[in-house]
Amino acid sequence: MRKFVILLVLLTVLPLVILGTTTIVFWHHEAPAHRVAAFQKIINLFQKENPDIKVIQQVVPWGDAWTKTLAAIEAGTTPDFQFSLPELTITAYEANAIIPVDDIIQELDSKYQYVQSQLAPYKINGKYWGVPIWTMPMVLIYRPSILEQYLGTKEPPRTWNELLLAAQKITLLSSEKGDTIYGIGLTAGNNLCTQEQVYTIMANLGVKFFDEKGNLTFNSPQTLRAVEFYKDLYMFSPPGSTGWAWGEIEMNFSAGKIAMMPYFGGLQKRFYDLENYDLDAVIQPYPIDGVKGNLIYPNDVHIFKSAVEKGHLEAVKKFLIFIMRPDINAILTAQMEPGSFVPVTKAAQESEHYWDDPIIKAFRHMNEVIIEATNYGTLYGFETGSAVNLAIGSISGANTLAEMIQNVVTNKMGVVDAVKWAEEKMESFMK
Amino acid sequence: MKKYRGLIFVLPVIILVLFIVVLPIITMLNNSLRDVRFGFEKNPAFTGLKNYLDLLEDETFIDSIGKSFLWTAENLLIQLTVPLLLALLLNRKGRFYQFVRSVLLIPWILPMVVVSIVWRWLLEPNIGYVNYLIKCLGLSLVNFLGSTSLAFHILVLINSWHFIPFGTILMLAALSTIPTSLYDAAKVDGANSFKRLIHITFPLIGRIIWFVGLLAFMWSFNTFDLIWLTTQGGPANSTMTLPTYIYKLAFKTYEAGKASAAALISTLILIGVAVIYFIVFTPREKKGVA
Repeated sequence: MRKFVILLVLLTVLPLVILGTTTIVFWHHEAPAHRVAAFQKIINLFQKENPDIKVIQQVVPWGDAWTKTLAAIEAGTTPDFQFSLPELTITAYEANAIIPVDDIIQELDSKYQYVQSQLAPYKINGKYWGVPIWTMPMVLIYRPSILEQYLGTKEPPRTWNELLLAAQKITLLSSEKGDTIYGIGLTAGNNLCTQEQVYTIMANLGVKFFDEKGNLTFNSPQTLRAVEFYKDLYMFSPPGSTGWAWGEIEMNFSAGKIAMMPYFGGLQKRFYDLENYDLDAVIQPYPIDGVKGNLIYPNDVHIFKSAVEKGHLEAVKKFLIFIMRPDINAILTAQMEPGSFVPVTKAAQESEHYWDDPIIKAFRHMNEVIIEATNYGTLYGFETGSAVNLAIGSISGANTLAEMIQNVVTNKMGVVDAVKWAEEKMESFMK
Repeated sequence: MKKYRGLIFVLPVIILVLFIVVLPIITMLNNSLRDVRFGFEKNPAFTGLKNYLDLLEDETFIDSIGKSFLWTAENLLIQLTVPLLLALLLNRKGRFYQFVRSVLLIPWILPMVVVSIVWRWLLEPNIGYVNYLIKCLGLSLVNFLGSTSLAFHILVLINSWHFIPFGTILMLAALSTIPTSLYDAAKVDGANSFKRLIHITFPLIGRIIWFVGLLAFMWSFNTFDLIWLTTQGGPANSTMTLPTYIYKLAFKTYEAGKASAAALISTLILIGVAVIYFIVFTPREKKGVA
């Protein structure tokens, strides 16, 4: 038995040593089976082209991402690199565990041309600490058939006034007919979903959490106006949405109970599977004195210092450059989560590999809108073009925006008091 | 050697308890006195009682303590009375009662994650089944988990629904130990069913009621999964109990020092209440009664 084990170890390790194979390990947090399969697909393609590098993926679900990352940093057992989000990258940066990636950004930018808005959340103190891989823009998705039935047109609203009127008309007319369809789907649950929808409305007025120096500028006339509008619009959202998260809003929209909602484009896969093409999108409506704007959530990869210590840096860079190749990036975006994960480089956005995907093709107009939205997008706390205040991780983690909106829509606080409360809460995190 | 044999036998358990109870409490105490964000920092600054003082000024924390007591009280009320009533109803022989006793166990064997998700969907105002039934009755829709006035009590009901089978089974087991001859003798002496309940049943299952009460108290006070998976403490903090708030502090806002202080306060509250419960409510055997 002992001999057999030794032989097995030798058979596994020796070829790697003889061939000089480098094994690199990465963590990602996309636990669903089809996402793991997509990662494995790109790994296999990479290993085929680079037989001297072995890549191992390890799944750490999002719920454990922060604690496991910090525990690994403390124990010195970090992987070589990790797929991440701005808040997690900031955490890894604060823990002094990652390296700057300006050289990779520069190379990718010259090759494939980054959409500039996607780089902002990863710029800290003048350097880039994460390589954006894909992004998630929020747009106004809608059911054309409901619009046609109640508004007499499939044309979606383009301004705040039009949006409010359309939501009101659909809700009231459907109620008269006993259909119970709501004009808009907005959540007010204590969760990230609410936060993202609220911020999309705020982005239409150019709300900024911080100024260039990192000072809090949240409590502004723009914020007050955005929250007021959210409150007005919320009147035409289903009554239970004070407790909603992703599941409920998606199910209600799919069931035809909601006509429009600021959301990501990921529902197109579900509609495609059901052969239902009653789904489209428009750039988030904005006030006539406002700006085109929406939330974007660029996902990145950051590289741990341990990759440098182990001499794995070059292999990691090679892999990152590989996955940003438009044909490969299409696997991580169009194939993995069509409409939800969107390319962050112009080359990948224009690539036929992206547009030839059957789901992307089936909802072509919707995806064109989503791609367009990547240009206007911002993420809360990073509006000035870089990470200016690292407290944004805690502010976001605490669901401060969501709690503020809950206080408003449940009439616990007025708009002015709620915004003031949120700013004070943010200040406490900055301390 | 013989002298230490007992100690040797209990040593593994002592070591285990040291590692999984004493050590975490010491770490928690240490963290609560320091400026710790994530819990992994090396040599975080000593801040004394700052975290505790911050908590005392934190409205949500103070409110969450009150909510935890209200949560526990409402749960105890339901989890002691309903199982007792059900046990009295089901303490009969026959296939029907046997069947009902088996079916009754279903909620208890369901994991809380399943319970939370199933109820979340059942109570959903627009596409949930409960509201569908309400609509069929011609009534207006109810926003169960999205209402600040309702959500808390609805969660109490769900939590109790999950616990009731366990309490009922324990009480049924206790009832089955009461000799029928006692009831027969009481009947001969002219005691009606109410008197038999008060003077025979209650005294003889008192210890079990006490035990169910203790379990219901501890489990209810520490309820986290149901609340987090349904409302995350919302809407507008109306379901933010102490365990939920501690989790939020530790894993959402990364204030491990403050979360440790809150957890220590929570532990002390639990110990305090448990001691009072033991002193006040422990059934005592009357002198002269075997």
